Amino acid sequence: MDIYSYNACVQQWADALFRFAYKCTGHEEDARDVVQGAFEVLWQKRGDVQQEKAKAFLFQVTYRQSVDNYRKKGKIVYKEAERTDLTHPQNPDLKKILDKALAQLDEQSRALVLLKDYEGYRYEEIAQITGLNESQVKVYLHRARKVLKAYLVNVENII
Amino acid sequence: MVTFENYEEYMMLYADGELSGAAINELLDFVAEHPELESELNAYMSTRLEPEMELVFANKESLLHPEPAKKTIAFGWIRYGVAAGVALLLGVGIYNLNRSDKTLNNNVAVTKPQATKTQPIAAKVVVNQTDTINSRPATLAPAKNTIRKKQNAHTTIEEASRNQKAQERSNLAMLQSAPEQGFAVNMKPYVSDIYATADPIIINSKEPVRKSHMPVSDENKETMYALGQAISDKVHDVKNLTANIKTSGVGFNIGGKEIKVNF
Repeated sequence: MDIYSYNACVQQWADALFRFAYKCTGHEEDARDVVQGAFEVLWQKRGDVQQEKAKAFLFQVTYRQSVDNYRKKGKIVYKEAERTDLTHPQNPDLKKILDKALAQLDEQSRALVLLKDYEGYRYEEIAQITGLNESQVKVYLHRARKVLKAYLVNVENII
Repeated sequence: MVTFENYEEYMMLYADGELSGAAINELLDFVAEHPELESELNAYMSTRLEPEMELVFANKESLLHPEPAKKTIAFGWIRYGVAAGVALLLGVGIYNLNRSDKTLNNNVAVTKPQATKTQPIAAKVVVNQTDTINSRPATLAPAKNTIRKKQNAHTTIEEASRNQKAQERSNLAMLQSAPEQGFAVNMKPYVSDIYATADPIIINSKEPVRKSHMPVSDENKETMYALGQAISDKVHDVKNLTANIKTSGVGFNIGGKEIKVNF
């Protein structure tokens, strides 16, 4: 990968990585640091990484750094106030509830749900990024879906 | 097949987008048969997160690495002057070449017909005292080595051979009738061994007698002669051109300084 391909990757994937890192860590500055670190690693290993595999490589590094970051800092609190004024296709109430439900998950399950729903990766691709096998990915994801569904149903019942 | 035991897994696979079209239809048919499961399916589908596009990495440029700038040459007035001088030199050179080309082309156009006129179809061979027929290669085929009249393209080899032998016989008769005197014979310098006689026949020719085994037709010989003549003329013209160039010169002004170049 040359410098032009690297810069193209920055333009193409920096926002997606930041969204993923922010949802994993729950902190904007931490997410910026994680993304910056991921691109630094990509730059150092640009000779070994092909451009078509750069996205998976970046998500792999971001996933590891986000999980490590979360394990150091602990609880996630999304800045809900900053997001409510922004337009979103989902129901704003549902989105808030989903954010809270997502915060209930462990860091690995949260990352799996984000890779699946945000990026549309298949089980096999998520397995490559996270280092899990495909069956583990499927089991962890289904477990996470059940937690999220249970949270939504309970809240709806309360509402 | 979707059952009450596995419908939940089907719903989660559907929410994950991992179900095939046929499996989706099976699940939806099952839910349609059991409407009490519809709310559960909707709940699973609601767990799907949508990316928040408003979340962006601010100041992306800080992640970029500077790309190497393309080298640009700053053209000052000196560079323009040098460029103009080079262009002038090229122009003069091309002009001279064009002139010489025209001259050469004219010469070639003139020499071609001359060559045709001056070079007979059959080279005249004069018998002299320096070469004998016996000294020529004995393996020469008469049909190939004798001069023949222009024949139709459809003439067979046998006919050509017959005609050539007849021609050779007449030539031999002429030679025998005047063995002491050199005379011009309308034939090639190659004669087959059948014409070898006790008295050596001396061929008096300005052209050196070729001992090559390769037969050359008259037409080819004529063309080659014309080509050789044209090449000779061309070489002569190039020599003239070289002499002209040696006496040429160009002068131009760069930055107030006059530069003169003599060839």
